[in-house]
Amino acid sequence: MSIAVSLKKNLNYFDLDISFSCAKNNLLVMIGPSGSGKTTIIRMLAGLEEPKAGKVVFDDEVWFDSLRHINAPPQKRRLGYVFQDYNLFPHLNLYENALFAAVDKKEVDELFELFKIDHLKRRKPHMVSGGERQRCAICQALARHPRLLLLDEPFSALDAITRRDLREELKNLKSTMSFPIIYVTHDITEALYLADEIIPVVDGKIDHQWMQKMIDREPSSESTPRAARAPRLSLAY
Amino acid sequence: MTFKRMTIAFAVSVFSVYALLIISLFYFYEWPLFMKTLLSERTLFSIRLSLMAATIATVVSLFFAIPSAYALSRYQFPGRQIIDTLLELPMIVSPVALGAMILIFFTTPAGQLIQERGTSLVFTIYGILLAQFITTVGIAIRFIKAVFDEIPKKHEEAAWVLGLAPAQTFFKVVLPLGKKGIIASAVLTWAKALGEFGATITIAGSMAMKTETLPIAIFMRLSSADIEGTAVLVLILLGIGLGLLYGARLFADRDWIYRV
Repeated sequence: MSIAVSLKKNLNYFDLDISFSCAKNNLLVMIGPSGSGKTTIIRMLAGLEEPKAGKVVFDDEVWFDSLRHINAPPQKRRLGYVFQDYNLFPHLNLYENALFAAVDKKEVDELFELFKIDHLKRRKPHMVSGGERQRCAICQALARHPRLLLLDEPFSALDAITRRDLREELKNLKSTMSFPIIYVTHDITEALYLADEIIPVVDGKIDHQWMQKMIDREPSSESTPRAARAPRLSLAY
Repeated sequence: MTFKRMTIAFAVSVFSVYALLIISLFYFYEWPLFMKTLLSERTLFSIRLSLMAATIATVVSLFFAIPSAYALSRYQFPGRQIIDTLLELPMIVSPVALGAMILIFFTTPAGQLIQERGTSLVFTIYGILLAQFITTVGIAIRFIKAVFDEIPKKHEEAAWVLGLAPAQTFFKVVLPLGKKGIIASAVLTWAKALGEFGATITIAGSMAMKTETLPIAIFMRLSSADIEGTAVLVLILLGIGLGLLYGARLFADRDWIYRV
């Protein structure tokens, strides 16, 4: 399972023009400053926004092709999407949220145990913390057996300790997953810690120099030493 | 006077005006007369007719209003602005004018054809239903559109990426999220239909035991200078309408907009 992407779209302040691919088992981190078009890219991959031109091919399945006027709707793409702002359904409890599109109920129970939220099953999203909501959102996305997992700054609104814990959990989980994961962040530490590949996106285009500048400038933080010891930075084309 | 007190004073003054009007009804209130008027065959018929017509008109209005409101809330399509403006028609023209428009329509060849092929609407109970439907459907769309506007689109997007088609998303996500708001809108629509007078009397007339709804019965009593009887009927209409509205408000105020 892999995805090949080539996208163009005119945005308010710049033209987005980007190409990349992501192989199975790979966690590709898309990093860049706020407003650089990362979320737009991920929304276009999910089918929530239409590119002006380009092509998105997952394995042999064409999700989007501007020349052939193909644009598969989001529900046909079978992917998992974890939104930045805990996009759980407020009228359902956490368990019902995770079961919403689940393939197997037992698996949801296992995921809840794995993410340590099984004691919160009956709580509504507004009754739990941000970290617990985001854990549930990841369970919800995984329970659907996605072919591609998209994570849009999933931990950006969380405190540093919760962020670090969830990052760790995601890293452990990644080793058991056999599908591509695309992770959007503006946090260099997070990118270095999680990524198999990194795409630096600035004003809608890949900008390797920006990435290098950020690495040089990055102050020490909770996981920088570890990232520095084992740099897994391989810039995509 | 602080700003808070000033705003509350405005609210209380408006309340006082309405309260004064209601209290003045009791000047003519006598328990035996109240019971006699309430239990008279003509009044009971009017109550039954009003409740039935308002309920049917509300159900039909909601049937059209819910999908229409969703379309206006979510989609861009040609003529959207014109439709949105025309929905204000019952508020722009007076109910009598609206009734006159319906009556005029039934004198045109198209209207006459409908009456010949279908059923007679003028001066019948169907006329009451039509008048109440036309008066309330635009308002129902307005209310329900406001409910849909309050539901963030992100929940629908989340449902789509989880594999739901737009129609499934509407029934499994949008309707449950807007449930309480829609119920509150339905109650307000029902109350509007219950109190409808102008369009109804224009189309359906005021035939006792046939097309005499409660508001029309009030008008007939007043026309014959029966102030005591008018006051009793107004109290009955107020009791039904305000009781239901207050109940709906308590229900709606609980938490119809979910916290995220």
